[in-house]
Amino acid sequence: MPMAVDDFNFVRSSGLIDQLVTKGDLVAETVVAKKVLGEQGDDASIVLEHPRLPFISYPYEWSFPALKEAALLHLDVQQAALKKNVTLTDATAYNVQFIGARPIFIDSLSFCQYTDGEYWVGHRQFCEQFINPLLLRSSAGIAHNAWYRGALEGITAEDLSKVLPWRSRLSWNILTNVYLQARLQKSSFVSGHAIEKAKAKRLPRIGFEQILHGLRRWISKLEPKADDKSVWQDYAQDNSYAEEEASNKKKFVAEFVNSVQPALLLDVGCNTGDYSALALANGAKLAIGFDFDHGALDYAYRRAVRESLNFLPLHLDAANPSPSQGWLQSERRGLQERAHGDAVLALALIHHLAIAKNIPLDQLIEWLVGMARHGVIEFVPKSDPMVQRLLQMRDDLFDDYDASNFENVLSAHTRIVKSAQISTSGRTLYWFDRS
Amino acid sequence: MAHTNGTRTAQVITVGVACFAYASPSYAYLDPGTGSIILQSALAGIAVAMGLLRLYWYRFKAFISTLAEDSRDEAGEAEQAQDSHAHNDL
Repeated sequence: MPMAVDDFNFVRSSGLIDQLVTKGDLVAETVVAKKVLGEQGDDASIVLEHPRLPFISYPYEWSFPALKEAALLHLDVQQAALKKNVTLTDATAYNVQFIGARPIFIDSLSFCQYTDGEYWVGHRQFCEQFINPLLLRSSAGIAHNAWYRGALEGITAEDLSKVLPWRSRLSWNILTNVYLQARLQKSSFVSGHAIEKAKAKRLPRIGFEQILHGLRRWISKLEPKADDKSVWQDYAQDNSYAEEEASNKKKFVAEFVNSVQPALLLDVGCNTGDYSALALANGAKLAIGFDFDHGALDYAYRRAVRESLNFLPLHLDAANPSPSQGWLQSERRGLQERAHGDAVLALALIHHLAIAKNIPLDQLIEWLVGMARHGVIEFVPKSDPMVQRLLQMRDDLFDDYDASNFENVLSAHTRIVKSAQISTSGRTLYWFDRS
Repeated sequence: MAHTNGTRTAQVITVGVACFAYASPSYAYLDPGTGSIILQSALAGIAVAMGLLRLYWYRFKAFISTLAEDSRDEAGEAEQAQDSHAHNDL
């Protein structure tokens, strides 16, 4: 309505949108004719068109450093906005997406005119959707992903205050933003008079700027708790492969990627991102990685930033991928709906699902080949030391888990372009094509 | 595949401007939470004081660096003057 249009015009005339788009912090926009929407456009005052993002991901799929970068971007955008007398109407993490490892703000309609003295309306949401999930890992050593997925609006200060170690109260930022906020949120603790009094007070601009500045400094120093080191983080370096085997694998994958030239490559079980990096160097435009290990994902994300790779590693428990959820179960789409690429890599993966998670081999192969028309799947036989380790503490119930059955199922769904044994233990790569 | 084409643009349409009918943009759109508002009101004084300190610290640093530049400039001018004297001497 007029109010929104006034804000829209004010924000555009401030130069903020151009500034953020030029910097790459905000998705670009073009005002287009209303008729592009047909009848739907009749009620609209303005219709905007944005470039399509290559892949949509959610905060419960991001690694710790990715969530941290998204938080810093939000603060940067809010700080830049304030300088132009603009503020944000909310602070939801779902307004940030990633292009490769670079976060980008996507809600260009959440800007409005700032009135000197107004409170930071998004503060609580910023705490619940950015700060608290980060603190869960940095102070308590618990990754945010599972909790966040079950609580789409993030982690409340009250809940977090119950799980953080007592000594975290020694941090001024945690004491105020978590413990004090949780206490003040309780209606039993705060009188109606206190609320009215607070509402009557104002937050001067310099105070608002200082809060943003202080939070930015603090968040930029947050790291996962020191004892939170994962086994898989070092897997790429310490695994049981001989160098020659790794080299054979790399040659095979490089040849595949060179031939297919995928715009979007899905790397399921990406670990620290070695093969995504290799694929990008051989012609893939964008790689989205998936892994369940938080340490490996942290490393992979930092590597993507450090080496400027167009690569985003995301958290995935393949046996239980992100579901469709939120309002009408359509607010946040499940991974199954989003994970469609031009090529898929599933290296050193299937034994973890078939053996450790009891997923039937045929369903596993169908799932993988359903992600893309082209792909490489590594079959790891029972004779391999890694599979032996998985079977060490349990009965071998997997009679159909062998190379010949694997080939039969894969052939039933796709054409096997090429296969190559890459290790003395019998690990074999299969290049498939189902186009 | 259309959705994977990184170079393709212009498909996601935002309708929205007319749909966001809020009388007071900041407060109506999102409940800021009593905890957050009381916290901000309680800490406003400290935040303002720290903000002012930071502002004056930057100004102080800028002032010092201007002084340093001035003294460098003066030293440079003196040097140039000396050079020109030297030239004159020649």
